[in-house]
Amino acid sequence: MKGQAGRKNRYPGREILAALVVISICIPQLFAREQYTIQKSATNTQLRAADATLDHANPNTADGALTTLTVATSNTTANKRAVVQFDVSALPNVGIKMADMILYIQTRPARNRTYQAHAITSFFTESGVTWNSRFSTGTPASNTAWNTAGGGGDYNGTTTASATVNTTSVTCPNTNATAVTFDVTADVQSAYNGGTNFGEELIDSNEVTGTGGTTTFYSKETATAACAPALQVTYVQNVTNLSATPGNGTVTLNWTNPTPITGATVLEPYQGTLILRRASVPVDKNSYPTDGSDPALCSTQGSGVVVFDDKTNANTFTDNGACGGLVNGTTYYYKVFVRDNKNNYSTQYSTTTGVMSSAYTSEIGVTPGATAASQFETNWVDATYSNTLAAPSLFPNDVIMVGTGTDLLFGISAATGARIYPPVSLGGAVTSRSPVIDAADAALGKDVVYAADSSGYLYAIATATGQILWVVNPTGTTTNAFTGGGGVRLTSVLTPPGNPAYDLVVEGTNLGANTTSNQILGVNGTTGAVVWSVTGNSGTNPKMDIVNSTPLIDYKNNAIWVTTRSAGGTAQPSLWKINPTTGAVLATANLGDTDASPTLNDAGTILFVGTNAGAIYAINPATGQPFSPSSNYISLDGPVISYPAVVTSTYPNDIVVFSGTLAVHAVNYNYLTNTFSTAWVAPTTVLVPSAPITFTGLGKVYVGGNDGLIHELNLATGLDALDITINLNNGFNNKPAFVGNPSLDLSLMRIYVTTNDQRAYSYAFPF
Amino acid sequence: MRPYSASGPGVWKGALLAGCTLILSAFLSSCSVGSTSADGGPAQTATALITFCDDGVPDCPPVTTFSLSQMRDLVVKVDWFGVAPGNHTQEVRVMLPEGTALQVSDTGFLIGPESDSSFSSLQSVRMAGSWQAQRQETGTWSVDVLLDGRTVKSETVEMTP
Repeated sequence: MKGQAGRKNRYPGREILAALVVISICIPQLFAREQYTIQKSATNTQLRAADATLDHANPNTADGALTTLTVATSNTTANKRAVVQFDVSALPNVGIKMADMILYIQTRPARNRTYQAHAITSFFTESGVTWNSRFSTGTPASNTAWNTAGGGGDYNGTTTASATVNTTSVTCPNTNATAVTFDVTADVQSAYNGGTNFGEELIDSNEVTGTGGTTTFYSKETATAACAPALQVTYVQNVTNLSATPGNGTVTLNWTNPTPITGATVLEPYQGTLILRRASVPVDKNSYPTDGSDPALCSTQGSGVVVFDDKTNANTFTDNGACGGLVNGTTYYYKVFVRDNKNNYSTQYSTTTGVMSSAYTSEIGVTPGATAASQFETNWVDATYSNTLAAPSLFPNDVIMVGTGTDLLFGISAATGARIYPPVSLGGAVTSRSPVIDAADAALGKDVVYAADSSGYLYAIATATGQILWVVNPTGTTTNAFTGGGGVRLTSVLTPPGNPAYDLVVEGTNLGANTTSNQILGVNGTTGAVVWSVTGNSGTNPKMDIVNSTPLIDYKNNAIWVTTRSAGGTAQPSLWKINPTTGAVLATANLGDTDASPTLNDAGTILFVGTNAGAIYAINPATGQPFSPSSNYISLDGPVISYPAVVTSTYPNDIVVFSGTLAVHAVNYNYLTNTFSTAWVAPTTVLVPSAPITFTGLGKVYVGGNDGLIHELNLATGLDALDITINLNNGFNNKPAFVGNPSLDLSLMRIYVTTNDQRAYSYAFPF
Repeated sequence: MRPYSASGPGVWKGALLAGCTLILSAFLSSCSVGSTSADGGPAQTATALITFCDDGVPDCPPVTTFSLSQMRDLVVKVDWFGVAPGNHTQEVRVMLPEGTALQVSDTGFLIGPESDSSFSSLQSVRMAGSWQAQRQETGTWSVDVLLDGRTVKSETVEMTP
C-alpha cells in the first residue's frame, strides 16, 4: 500500500470506494493493539535518529544539523534529497503491524510534487552525510562515498512508498497542517525481522527532467517539536520475563503480560496469549497463528502445536501433556504469542521470506525430568538472525552484546533476555566478541561496547541506549575488514590511574590478501582518534599478515600482545609485543600462522599462544620468545580454536585447555622445567568443538559442539560429566545446531552461547 | 555451468565470455528479470553472472571448489548485463549449506542513460580464521544475487575441509 498525501485529503472523491476496498482487505492489520508516534521530544530524544539534506549543488556539505530537510528538483546538478532515520528504541519488543513516516512542511513547492521513499541500504552518519559521502570522520580523515555513481545515496531501487505535496498543502505548525505520509511498513518490519534500519531516502519522482519544485520539511532539529518528522507505528507487544520451570512430566511457564507503552494510543485491548510447543527443536520462525484466526487447542500451526489458548490475560500455564504427553529428558520449546481481542498476534510480515514471521516472539526451552538433577531450562532464548558463533560479550548481571554477521549489534538484558532496544545497525558484520566496559571503569563514563566491523569501522556504542557515541574508519581505507575483536586498556586500572586520560582500544586489521602491511591500531576510546599505529613492512617493522584475533592487554608487563598470520610460513612474525604508550614494536616471534588470541597465565609470567598448526607455545613475556626452543606442545589436531584457556594448577603447573578441530585438549605446563605434558584429551567426543571456557577454581570446562550441545567437562579428567541440549535440529537442514564459544556470567552464574540456529541462549551453570 | 579450472590473468575474460553465453541462455532459463528504472523507464531483461575465487591464490582464478582450511577469502564477482537505466540495488546473499545467510551485502548502483547497461561488483567474505573454517561448515554453499528485491541468479560452490 503506497503512502498518501496529507491525512485530510487521504481519500478524496471517487477514490473513497477504492479506499474502502483497501481497508477491508487490511482489516486484520488495522485493528492492532497499540499505536505510538515516534517523534523527537523532551521525553523521546531520538538519540539514534538522523536526518539530513543531500545537496547536489554543494556535494560535500553536511547539512545534518539544520532544522530543515529539503527535497528539490531543480536541474540535474542542483537536486536535493533527504535522508530520514528514526530511533525506534521506544518499541524494543513488538510485532510491527503498520508504520507511517510523516513529514511536516515548512515551505510548499511552487507546483505539485510527488516524493518517493526508498529504504537506505548503507550505514551513514548524520554529521558526515553529504551528496557525495555517507560517512566522514576519523583520523586520518576519511570519507566513504555512496556506492551509487554520482552520489546521493545507496537505496533500494524499488520505491517503498510515495506521497504528494500540493501547492495547497498546509504548512506546519498551522492547524490542520498537512501530514505528508509514507507507508513504510515493509521497511520497518524488515528492521524488526533481522534487517538493518538505515531509514529512508526521499527523492522527487521526476528528478531528472523536472524543474522548479522544492519542498522544505522540518527536520528533527526544529524547535517546533510538533513539526518534527514522526513515525507512527501500530504494533502488538510481546510478553516479557518468560520463564519455564520443569517438573516430572510437566512444565510450568510464567510471564508478564504487556501493558500499553506510555504515550501509546490503545486501539484494541490485549486479551491473552497463544502458545505453541515443539519437541527437541525450537518452533521455527515461520510457525505462527494467523492474524484474525483463533487456532484450536492442540491444533498444529506450522511446526508447533497449540498447547495454550487463553483469552483471560493469564500469566501462567502448566503443560501437563494435554496435547501430547511430555517425555522426561526431552527438551520442549515454547513460543508465546500475545493476542488482542481481534486475534492480532505479536507477529509481523517478513519482507525477506515473504511470509509472516514470529522470529522475535518470546520463546523458551525446558527439559522435564523425574528428578531435579535431570531437569533443565533455559533462562531465556533470543533471536539474533545470525550464524555468528563468537562468544557474547557481557557485563555481568547487566547486559549482553551480540554482534552478528548481518550487520547488527543486539543489546540483551542478562537477567531476562529482553532486547533492551532494537538492534543497532552497523556498516558491516561483527564476527568477534566486542568488549563491554562498565561506566565505573570506562574513561568515557558510560557503559560502552567497542565494536569493529567488516567495513573497517570501529564504534563506541552506549550499551544502555544503543547510541553510537563515535564511529571511525581508523585506517582510512575500504579494504580493511576487522575480523578480530578489540582489546581495551583501561586507564582506570593503570598504576597510577588516569594517565593517559583515555582508554586505549587496540585492533588489528584484516586486509584480505595483503600479507605484509596490515596494521595494529591504538585508538582513543573517548574520541575515536588514532593514538598510534603499527604498520607492517614500514620503517623498521617487519611484514605483518592479517589479524584475526583479539589483542591481549598485559597490564603486568606493560605490553600489548597481538597474534597474526605469517603468510603461511615462519619467515615473518606472528606474535607481536607492542608498547601500549607509543605503539613501538618491542618484540616479535615467528611461530607460524596464528588466528587464536594469546592468553596470559594468572601470575602474568607466561604467555600461551596456540597456532594454526596446533602448537601451544609458552612465551616469556619479558623477551617475547619461547622459554626454550623445545617449549611447545603439538596437538596434531588442527588449528587452535579462538584462544587457549589457562588455569593455575598444583605448583609448579599451569593447565592449558584448548580446542582443536576434533577434540578438547588439556596440557600441563611445568614452569620450573619449561615442559609440557598431556593432561587429557576429552575422552567423550565433542563433535567439532568451540573454544573452551574455564577459570581457576571452577573445576569445569564448558565447550559447545556441532552436536547441538553445551558440554560440561571435568577439568581434572576431561570427563564429559553433563551436557545441556540446546538444539538437535537447527531448523534448516535437520542437523544439530553448531554451538558457539560460551561466555560465563559469574554474577548470575549463567552461561551464554549463540548458535547457527540464529539464536542466543542462556542457561544456569554449573549444570 | 561447468566449473572453471582455468588460471592466470585471462580468466576474467573467460568469465566475460561465459557471461555472454549466459545472456543467450538466459532467454531460455529463469535467471533473468525485467528491470525498470527508478523513474519508470522501459523494462529490460537483466542477467547476472556469478563467479568465485580465492584472493589468496595469485590472480584469483575462478573456481567452484574451495578448501576451508586452505583458503583466504571467498571473492564473489557479479557481472550484470542488460540493466535498465536508473538506480538499482544489488543484493548478494552468501548462504550456508543449511540454507541460512552468512552474509548479505546490498550495493546501490546507477545505470546511466548512456551506459552499456552493465555493472560489476566484488564481494569478499573473509574465510581465513573464521568460524566457518574452524567449525568445518563444509558442503554446498550457494550465492543468490537479487536485483531490486528479485532473485536473478543463484550459483553454488563446494566447500571441502
